[in-house]
Amino acid sequence: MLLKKIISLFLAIIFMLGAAGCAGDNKREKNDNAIDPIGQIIITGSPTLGQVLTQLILEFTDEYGTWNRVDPLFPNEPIDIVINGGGSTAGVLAVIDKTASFGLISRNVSEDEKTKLDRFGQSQLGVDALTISVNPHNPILEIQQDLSQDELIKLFSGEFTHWDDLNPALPHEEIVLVTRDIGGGAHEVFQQTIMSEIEVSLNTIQAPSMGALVTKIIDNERAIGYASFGVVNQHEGAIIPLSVQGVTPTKEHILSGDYAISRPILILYNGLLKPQEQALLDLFLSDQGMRIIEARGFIPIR
Amino acid sequence: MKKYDDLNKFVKHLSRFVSFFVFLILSFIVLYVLIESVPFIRSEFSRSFVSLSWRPLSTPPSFGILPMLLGTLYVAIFASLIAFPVAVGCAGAISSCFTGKTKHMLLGLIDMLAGIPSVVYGLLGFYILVKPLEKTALMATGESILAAIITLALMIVPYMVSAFAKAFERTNENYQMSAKALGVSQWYSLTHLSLAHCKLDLLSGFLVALSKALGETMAVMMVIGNSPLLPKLLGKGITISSLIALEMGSAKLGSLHYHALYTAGMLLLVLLLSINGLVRLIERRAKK
Repeated sequence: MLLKKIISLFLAIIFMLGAAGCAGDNKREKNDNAIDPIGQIIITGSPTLGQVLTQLILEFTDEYGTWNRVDPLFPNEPIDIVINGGGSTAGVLAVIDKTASFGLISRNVSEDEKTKLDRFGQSQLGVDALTISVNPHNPILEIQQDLSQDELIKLFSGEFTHWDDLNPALPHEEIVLVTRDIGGGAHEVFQQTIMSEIEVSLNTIQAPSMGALVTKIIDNERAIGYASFGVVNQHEGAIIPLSVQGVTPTKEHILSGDYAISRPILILYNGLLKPQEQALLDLFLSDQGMRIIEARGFIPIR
Repeated sequence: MKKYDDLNKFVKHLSRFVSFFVFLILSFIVLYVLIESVPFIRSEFSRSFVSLSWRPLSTPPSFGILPMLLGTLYVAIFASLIAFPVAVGCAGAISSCFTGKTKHMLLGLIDMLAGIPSVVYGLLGFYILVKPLEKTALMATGESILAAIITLALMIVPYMVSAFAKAFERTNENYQMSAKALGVSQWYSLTHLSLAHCKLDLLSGFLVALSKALGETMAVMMVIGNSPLLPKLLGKGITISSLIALEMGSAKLGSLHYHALYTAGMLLLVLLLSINGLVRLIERRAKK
């Protein structure tokens, strides 16, 4: 008898815990009119952008601490914001699944993805470009500072295997291609703007992050890869961008669209924003937000 | 006494419940991976699974898993082969040359090695192996199968050592007295007694470490280069687990690419489960 009692007690506790969890969820979704406690705000997406916003959010949290200091109408609860990596597509998925309030996206959102959102909302924070970058010790910098689209295609499709295939004045050394993973945002942008139908060679180092890609080029004199403009600026001098089709990747050329390999920095959200989320979005778009985006090497939208 | 009977029963049922729960989790994982890979297996491109070209986003796409499968087996088997003699020597030395506190401390240290997060091994591999390899004339870039094999070998040595040391310990307990009484030297008793008597334990320890090596993701991903090419010792390569870690985050939900990654995961799971089954079989025979 005692045994049965203990087991049923045990099960009851489990169910109660489960029910409590559900109840908590319901409460959070129930009334949108009154300003409810928001709990944790989750932001998921491109890790490159995540780093930038982390600094902004740290400043924000340090300055205010609790939500009611941001706006007296907000409840008195500590500000709790988490930024997850995972990539642009993970960001879109998290916003579709509503496991995150905001998605950080460093490419255009496709029509297909837009239809999956209940209510599509996005704000552009800035612009990033993919620069074709090499190591500062690469002799190509003394011979030829520009690559045509045709040369780029031949480089990245693996048709050129050694540097002297590109220019006979260069040494006979193997070209080390560094790319991001094939399904990622950066690769998609590069494929569309430069390669179009032609496949990127399989003989590349697929870096798991933009930081790893840039580190590889900084370490290896024979490496070439598409490095983010922002990350290149963070490592100024250690990695040198080349010009493409005669256009150098500068702020002006990227903003005007003359430099072709660029991508938007977007923040994606689904449906109506709660007041606290709106306050956060306003923060991203504020002068303070723009200043940090610029300080981290990217081009702010304003 | 009645009191304890009830308590005994309770603990028995509780442990049954918990082990059933573990079984439930395992079957849920297997089932989930299986369900997620069905759309790919049924698609018209499933034939391309047994090919050499991994082009998940091209038109038409091609999902050749062979480079990853061969890369996984190549790296894991060679790493285990390198680790094996090191681990046998290490376990032998610990079990026969040291006693008491020193032995305990050494075994504790070995266990601690097993607890180091794999990303730390990956970083070590990147700085100690990849960078110096890059400076040699052997290869244009240091990321290589070789770097992955050495990193992995380092990582699995502790698993092998603790398995082997336990086995040697058991033999020692049973035969040490008789061996000493016969005046057998320590070296002879290690080579002719412990090694001979623990053959099956050595095999099962080897297989456990091999399955650990097959599934290792992070450390390998950091040093192998992640190119879907056929594995060559000095060339770049990719393993199934690093492929999944690299591409799962960016594969679009519900796309063939996504389901193909699950199918790759299932392949790895089948590989690991069959090795584990083999280990159980061997252990049962070893006990007889």
